Amino acid sequence: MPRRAPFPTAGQPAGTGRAPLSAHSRLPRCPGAPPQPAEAGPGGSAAAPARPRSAPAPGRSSRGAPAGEMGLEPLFQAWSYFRRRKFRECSDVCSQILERPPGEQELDSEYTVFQAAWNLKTRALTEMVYVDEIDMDQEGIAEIILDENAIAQVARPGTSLKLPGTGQGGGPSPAVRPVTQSGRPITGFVRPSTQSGRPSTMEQAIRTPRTALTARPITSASGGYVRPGTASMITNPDGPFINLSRLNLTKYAQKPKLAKALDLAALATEYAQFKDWWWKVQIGKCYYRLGLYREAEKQFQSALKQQDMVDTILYLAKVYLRLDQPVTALNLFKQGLERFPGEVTLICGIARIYEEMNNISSAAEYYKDVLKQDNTHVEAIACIGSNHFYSDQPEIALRFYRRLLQMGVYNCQLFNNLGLCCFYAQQYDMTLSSFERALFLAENEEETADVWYNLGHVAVGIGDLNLAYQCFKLTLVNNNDYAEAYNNLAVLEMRKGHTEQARALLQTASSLAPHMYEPHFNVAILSEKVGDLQRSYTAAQKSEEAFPGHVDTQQLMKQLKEHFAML
Amino acid sequence: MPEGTGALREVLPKQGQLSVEDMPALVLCKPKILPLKSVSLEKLEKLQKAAKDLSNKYYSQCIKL
Repeated sequence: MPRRAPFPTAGQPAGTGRAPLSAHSRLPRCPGAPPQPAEAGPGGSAAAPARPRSAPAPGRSSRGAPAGEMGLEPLFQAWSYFRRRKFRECSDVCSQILERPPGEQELDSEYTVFQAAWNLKTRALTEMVYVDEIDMDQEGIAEIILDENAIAQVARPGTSLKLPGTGQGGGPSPAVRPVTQSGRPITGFVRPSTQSGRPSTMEQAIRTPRTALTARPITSASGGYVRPGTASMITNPDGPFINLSRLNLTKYAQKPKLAKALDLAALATEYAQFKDWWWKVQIGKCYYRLGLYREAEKQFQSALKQQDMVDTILYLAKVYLRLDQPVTALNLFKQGLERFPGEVTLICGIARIYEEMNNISSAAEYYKDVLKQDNTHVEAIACIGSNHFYSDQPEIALRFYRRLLQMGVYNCQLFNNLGLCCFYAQQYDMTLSSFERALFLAENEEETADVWYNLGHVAVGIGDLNLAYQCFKLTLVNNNDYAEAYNNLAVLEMRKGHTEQARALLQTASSLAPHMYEPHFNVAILSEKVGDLQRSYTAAQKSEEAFPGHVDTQQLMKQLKEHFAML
Repeated sequence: MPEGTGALREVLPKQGQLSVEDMPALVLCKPKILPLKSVSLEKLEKLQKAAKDLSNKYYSQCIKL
């Protein structure tokens, strides 16, 4: 896209009423500076045209002084803020420029400045809230429940994301690997689209903790710029003054304004006589947001026919995934790989789909492919690391997480994982310091709770049950809904002989997390010991539902059935 | 060794076993490897946190009035 010069062209005559060059010893000012108190030296206006427009030495702009003092052209100042990623300052300066009344200058150049400033401001505002659209994939609860796009009522096993195929992947079982609410094992990496899976009932949907990921960011200042955008676009015959930033801006406004974005995109496409693939992609994105997936698919397909682009493939795959057609998405990716061999995003997409479908071994294979192409790919490293950890290979997992550390990833989750891997790989010197660092880096209570929970496991491992008790209690202090902690506390209480307390804790655990088999199994064992066979049987059934392959549950059920048969 | 399907089979002696007792023990929930967050997710969370703080600030100001 042709880049417009951010400052006015050199055609502007000197006697424009703008501040002439000062005779001060201060740094020479570009003639475009905002109106200063008249310090016009006699040599001012004569010297003005001699100075080229882009005069201010680039070096000076990095000092960051306000435009007036340094004498920088305000638009240039804004541009330099933009380049230094100081978006708020940039948009403030642009607002100042835009608020200035046009004045007595020639309309043409002033309009150019106006456009440039406006363009810059929208870009700055967008950059402040821009999130990679490909990753954005938030489904509201209502959208999930009222989904009218279902292809088939009952999907064949292994072809639907909503019903992950059981155990076809050959990954670690729930006996070893914790499971999220939808029954899928915990992954190594979380993106905006990996929520806890799609809940099957409304009740479960409401109960799913939606930790602050529901509200979309709204920049109210940007809303006002939508209308000038549309207006200027229509009046401006050379359409492509529009850029990606503006469209993102319109989309990040509230939904009623989304219709405007769609109008904008449709208008532009018509103007481009349907030959411009880029606008088709934008329309497709609007349809996607509005939930019209089939239309979105059509747009993306036609855009793909016109111009093969990786991004279009990614968007189209998103549509297919939302339509719950992972196999189609997979085929699309594989075709894309033929045209773009070795493209990391495509391979990563394939791996993610396999992971969603619970096919851990294929996912691991593709993540390894990703690493062959790009060995700093954080997601792949994290996922492979967690797979190794849960396959009883903590030393290898440790190597992967160490690599992440070497790459500069520095957050609570990584240190927690390092601590766990160190402990299970018997490198006890590093364990506690990693956990300490993790606690220090935790940004909110949920992360703290996770770290304390894992510390509790370490304590159990070294046999210090008092410490374990305290750690699990601390977990609950930080996060009252931590089902695993309740379960483990119950086990500890049982060891001390407090049966009633254990039972109460298990009750809480099983009601908080019905998808976990451990609390149900423990309730079954407890009740059987006490002699409450009926309760034991119902609990064992629930445990079997959650984890059909659990040998101990099956044995228990067999025993109970024998008892009942005898009666 | 991974607990794969039939990777290892127990070898129990057929002779010489006097008694076999299998006390079903309570199971602990497993240690949790925390998933790492992507750049987009972090940015989203940061934005949402900022918006929430801002709204809280305005709310508390309104309450004061």
